[in-house]
Amino acid sequence: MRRLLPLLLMFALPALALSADELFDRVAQVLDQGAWEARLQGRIVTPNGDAQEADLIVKTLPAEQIVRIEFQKPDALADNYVVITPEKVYNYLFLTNQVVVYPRAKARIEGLGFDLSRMGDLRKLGEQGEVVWGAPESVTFQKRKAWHLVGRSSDPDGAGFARVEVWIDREEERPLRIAFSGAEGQVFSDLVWTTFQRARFAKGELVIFPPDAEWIEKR
Amino acid sequence: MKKLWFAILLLLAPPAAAQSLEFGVWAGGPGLSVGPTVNLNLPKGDWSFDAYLRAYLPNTDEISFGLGARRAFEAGPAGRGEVGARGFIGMDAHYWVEGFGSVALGKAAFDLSVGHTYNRTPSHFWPLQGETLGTYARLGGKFRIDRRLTLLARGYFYRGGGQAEAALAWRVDRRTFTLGAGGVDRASNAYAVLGYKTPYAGAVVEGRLRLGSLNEFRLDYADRSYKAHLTMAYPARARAGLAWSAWAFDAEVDQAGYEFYLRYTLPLEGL
Repeated sequence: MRRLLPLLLMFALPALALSADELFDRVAQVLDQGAWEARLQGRIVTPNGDAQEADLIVKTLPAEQIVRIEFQKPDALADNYVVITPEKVYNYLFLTNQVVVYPRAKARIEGLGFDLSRMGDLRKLGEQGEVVWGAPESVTFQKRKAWHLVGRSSDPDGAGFARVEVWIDREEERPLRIAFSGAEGQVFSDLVWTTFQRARFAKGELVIFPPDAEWIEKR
Repeated sequence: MKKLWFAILLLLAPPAAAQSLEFGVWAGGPGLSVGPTVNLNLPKGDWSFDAYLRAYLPNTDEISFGLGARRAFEAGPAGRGEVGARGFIGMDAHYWVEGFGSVALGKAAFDLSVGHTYNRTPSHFWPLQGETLGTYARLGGKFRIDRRLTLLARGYFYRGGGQAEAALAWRVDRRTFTLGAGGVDRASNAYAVLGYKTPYAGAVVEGRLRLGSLNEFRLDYADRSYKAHLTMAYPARARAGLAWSAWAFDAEVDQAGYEFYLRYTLPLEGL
């Protein structure tokens, strides 16, 4: 019996293993519980190939499907922000004091190597067949127990990336790190979630712009 | 005359496809002239086309119309710009042409317009054009030194003269202080620039003072519903404007006369 037990476990484990979809469902449940704010730090690559330090503050209101991304770094983006709503994406440019508004469907914001408006929606990428996810692997990330997943885009040109890697905290079931890269292995962005906290936002606190800004509507 | 109206009607024929139709009434003096205006805007992807018409009463010979095209482009989340051109021609053989472009790339932004006005009295409000006859150029630049300091520069050059100005804007929390200097026509005609911008009860208020060879005070106010500005200058000149919802009103009075311009923008999407 003692010999049989490891054998049974060996066959039973794959059946018990967590799939990427299940894991993203759990993460989505955690992130959808209420408003939250996270700080993402790492590196992004600009269109001309320069790697730059990145520091973003992400604020979300899941019930309203609103995400606000405030850029602290790189210097060229500092004080700019992007607000994503179900219908529109608003890109605020500090230097020119302009708000450029795009329909959500056309809001591919160039320059980060991937569509910024879908950054937190990894489950949806899988559902739409745009990314094929491998099985989660158990790893340690910054002394935390984590799941590591690798996804490959079925249409790198359309998606703007060929490979995406995600590290998910096993206890808190929230993202710890997300990295997007190209077909030749070049990293477009590699961002670590350095802080994560629950918050109390109202829609008006996220979808707000300087009242003196110039508005440019794109259709 | 009938041929002209036919051409104008053809020009304005596709309003159903346009994004917006702006109706305005311009009035100016000395004396009294009234000019109903129409501006049709048609966006096509990154392109945008405009058609303009201004009648002019009581002297209908001064009817003028214009065409414009511009193309927007983008380069990264902080990079965007546009280039374009527009031209106007009037029944009394005046014309005005202008090319323009602007670009913002991360820490720097530039804009430039170059135009030529021939044989006409400039109008400040329909749309803004060269305020002198002949060739003119406007250029502006902004450069962010860091998150607090921004260098601003602008110039306006025209036949027989020009104006140049440079300033440093210093941001402290949500307030911005501006200090700079400029000159009109020659370096000895210098003036100082002082500015202050602050949020106030959900609005943004900005004051800018130019003192020296140019004496001017401008106050801007913007909240979620209204944008207003008031400029007072010496030698005596005053200008004011208010924009709310789809409406906008501008007025200017100086020693040579006055101008008023009221306009309403009708969105046509879905018609």
